[in-house]
Amino acid sequence: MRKKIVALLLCFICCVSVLFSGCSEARRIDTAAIAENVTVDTVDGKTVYTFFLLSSEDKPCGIDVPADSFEEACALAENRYIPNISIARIDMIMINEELYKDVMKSDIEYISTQPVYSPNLKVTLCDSNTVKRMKEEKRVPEIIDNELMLTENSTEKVNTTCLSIFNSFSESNDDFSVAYISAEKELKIETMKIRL
Amino acid sequence: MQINFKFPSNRLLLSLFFCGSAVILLQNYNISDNTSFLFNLICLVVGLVLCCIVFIPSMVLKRKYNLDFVMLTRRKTPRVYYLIMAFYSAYAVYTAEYFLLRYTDMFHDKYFSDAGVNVIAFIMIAICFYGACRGVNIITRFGIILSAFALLCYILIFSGGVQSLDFELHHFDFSGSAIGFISNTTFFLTPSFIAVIFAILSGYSENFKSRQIFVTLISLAVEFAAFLFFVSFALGAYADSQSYQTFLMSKISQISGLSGIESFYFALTTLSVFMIITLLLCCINREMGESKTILNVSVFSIVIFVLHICASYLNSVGEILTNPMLFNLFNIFAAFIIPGIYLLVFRRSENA
Amino acid sequence: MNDLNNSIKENILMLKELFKESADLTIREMNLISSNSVSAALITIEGMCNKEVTASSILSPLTTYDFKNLQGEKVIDEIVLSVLASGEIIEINTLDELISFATSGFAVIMVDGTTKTLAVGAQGYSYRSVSEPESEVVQRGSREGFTEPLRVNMSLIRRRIKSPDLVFETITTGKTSRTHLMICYLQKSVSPKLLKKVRSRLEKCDLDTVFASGYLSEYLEDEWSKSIFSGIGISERPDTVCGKLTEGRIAVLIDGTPAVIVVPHLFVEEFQGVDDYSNRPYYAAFIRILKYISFFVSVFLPGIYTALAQFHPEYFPTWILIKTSESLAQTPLPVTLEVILMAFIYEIMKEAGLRIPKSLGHAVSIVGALVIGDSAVSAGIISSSTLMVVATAAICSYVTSQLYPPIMILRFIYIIVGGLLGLWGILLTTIAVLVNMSAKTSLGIPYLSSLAPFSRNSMRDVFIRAPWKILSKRTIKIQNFPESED
Repeated sequence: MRKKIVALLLCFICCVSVLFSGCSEARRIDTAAIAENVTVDTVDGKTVYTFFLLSSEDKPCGIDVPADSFEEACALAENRYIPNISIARIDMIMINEELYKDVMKSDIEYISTQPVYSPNLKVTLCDSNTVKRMKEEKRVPEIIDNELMLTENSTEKVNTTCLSIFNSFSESNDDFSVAYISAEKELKIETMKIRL
Repeated sequence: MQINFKFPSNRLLLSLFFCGSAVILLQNYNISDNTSFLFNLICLVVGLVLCCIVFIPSMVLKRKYNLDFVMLTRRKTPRVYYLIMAFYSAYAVYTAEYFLLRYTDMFHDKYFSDAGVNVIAFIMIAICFYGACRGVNIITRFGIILSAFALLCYILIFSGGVQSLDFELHHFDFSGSAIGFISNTTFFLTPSFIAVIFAILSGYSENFKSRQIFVTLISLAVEFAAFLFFVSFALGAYADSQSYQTFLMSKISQISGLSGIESFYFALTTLSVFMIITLLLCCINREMGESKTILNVSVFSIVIFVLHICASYLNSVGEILTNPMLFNLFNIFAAFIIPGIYLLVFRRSENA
Repeated sequence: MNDLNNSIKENILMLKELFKESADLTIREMNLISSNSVSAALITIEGMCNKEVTASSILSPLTTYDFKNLQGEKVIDEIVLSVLASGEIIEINTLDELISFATSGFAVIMVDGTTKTLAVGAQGYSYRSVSEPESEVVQRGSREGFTEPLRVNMSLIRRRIKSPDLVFETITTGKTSRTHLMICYLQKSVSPKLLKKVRSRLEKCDLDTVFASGYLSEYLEDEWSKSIFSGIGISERPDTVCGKLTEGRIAVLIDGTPAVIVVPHLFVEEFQGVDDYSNRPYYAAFIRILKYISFFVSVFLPGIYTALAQFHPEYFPTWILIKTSESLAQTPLPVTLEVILMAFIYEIMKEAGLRIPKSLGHAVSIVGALVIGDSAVSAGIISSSTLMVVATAAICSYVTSQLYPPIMILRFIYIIVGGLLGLWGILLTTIAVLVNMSAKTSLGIPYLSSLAPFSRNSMRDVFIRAPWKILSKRTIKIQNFPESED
């Protein structure tokens, strides 16, 4: 009888502990707004981070979050603009060429400290028209992805991921190549030398 | 009863290999910056040679006299037996806490930041309690199945990371300092805790051969070297931006565009920590006399849990419990000095 | 219970009292042709004996033979030696034995003046003919399966193993049912310690009735309550049982059920089939690996799906993520509840399908498919992705149908744990289950033998089926597995 009581008590404690383990904070797939790509552009002189969410609709679903940094943008997105946002699937960040000097280094440094982001997260520069096309056409990220894959296989070293860009600017102060996407050249990848 | 069966020594050492793996899997800024891969490799070799030396007393005891340390103490010094065993029980609790704290910290940091750390520790200890109640024989059998899964994990992690290797990120030169050497070697000496577990649990095993220990340590060395290599040449400076660099290394692994291989890293770490805590609880049970397994294991599981709560709320307790220098001192004392003294006395009395 | 009497009248009265004047107890009294006017009686149970055999082989010779001046026990001896044409005559001396044989279809002959009685084989009860067992269908093996009568089953085994090493031992169990059991083994292969264990455990069975193999499984298993996996094997196929007997295992045949118990039983045996030994090795290996994969899918898929959907949606590939996310967003229930509900409904349908009359089966299956499969998804009550996952897991579970009970339990456990603790919870549960399985034994043989403890020799018949030339080189006996208590 005593053993049964002890066993029951232990089971109760285990169940309670399981319930309080944090399962209420689950990132449920049916309620999550999964962000796939992010663009950084300037609108009326302000830096705007646009989070493109995963959806089956024909048009891209982008939500603008005005912020000065990616860290601030993520916090604002979660608290105000996009409840239940899931940022673990962010695959690519495209930064307007006019803004990279202001935001690129700090954003990449921030991303490198967060375990949720993959070090293989793609980071590219682009022109304003590319950002506009991103907001209008759903195929644009796929085209850019394919182009980036071709670039990785080429002989010239181009830093396309957060990992390689971070290593490039942290190890030396020299110029290094990053991928640049131009809407005028039909979203083909070019290399652009920058220094951070 | 299966619990009374002697099993092959190579199974015990296989389980100890998984225990030792936790050292590199839960590595967190333990390896100095500004040290090259070759330098770290040398520190690794030196560290594991020292581990090998730490193994000598328990190896001699098992090979020559077919005794484990608990039996030796009981025979030679019955008066201080309980005092010595109390020390080893405290050591087991400290070691369990050392790895559990790191594990829950990694869990909280990398896996699920909203999870209650003490609840995670409780659930983990509960599973280890169940495992320890079944006995060493059963746990080492489980280790065989674990080895198949671990092999799969290693293949996925390393083969997925191959595409990220970039030899320009790091150099094959030799750069490091004396302080770096001491610090890194101390870190690579950490697996010596498996010598203590072996010293206590070797009495359950048979067919021991000395080369089994060398194979275990060499396998650990190869594993550590592989992780070091990938961290240096796949991550480079990025490795220092986050804690638990091995996790980061698994995060960059991709196979045909499929990611999520860090979940295998997480599984491997969980299994390693499970092995460590369970085998340590088995050690405590052996030290306490094995007549009341459930009572022994449950009391010390509660002690480990309470200490974990203290460590999570009191930073000073946490710092003591996760201090690598203190841990290594403890290891050397428990695995080398005390058994070494006993062995010398035992041999003298045998010769006399 | 009173023992037999010298007086036939007393014995008949005793029997009538014991059987409470049961309508099926038939007592045919007669006077044998003899100078001493010896009376005798033939006791049968209505429906259990063959009337023609009884009349022609027993009654006719008894009533026409001249016993001269023989009396008592000498009459019995004369009947055995010279009168009866039956091949099976057993001498019995106690009332218990008389009842046991009479109720087993034997015709019992009692003679006045002696307690010695004869049981003559004249069984004629109806039983199901030998047919293929529905639960163990094969492509290339025999189509025979065990039936309910013990003797038929014994003959099915004897026909396949014609060696004199094959031994059958009788045990009676069940205080009320007095069910006959046969312990069957090969003398040269079996371990005496294992045999002793089986005998002693069966003798400890103190049930009133034993009607099926499941009644005895709790007595035969080691610590049956501590594991969801069964440490005893059940088979309805004579070829399977004979194959296991050659490995030193012991079969327990139970009168009244076609399910034969085979012990010891290991986990890896659940994935071995008769067809593996008839097909070519490469195909057999493929099927074996398929079975292992199906087992893992049936156990883990719903739990992992729940864990990923609840905690780790980022692990889904993009093309699945969009569809799953949208389909789950349209349903009212959380993922965990939805998967549990679907799995539960499937179990209800399965149970209903087992018991439903065949004439109604088609209509109900159509309703089930339409209602659950189509309408519920269209109405948004359940999502199509959940339905796919549960259906896939259900189909996979029938690849290893013997493991269905533990698969079902584990599936529910993993769904709940996955929904509460994510992949980490599934991992910890798997650790607990594997430790439990590692600790489990079947009559002292580790349940996970071949894998843990690892046995290199036996691996030739675990994931692959080595060619017969290799398999036949050395038969691995069950008692020789590492860490066997024998």
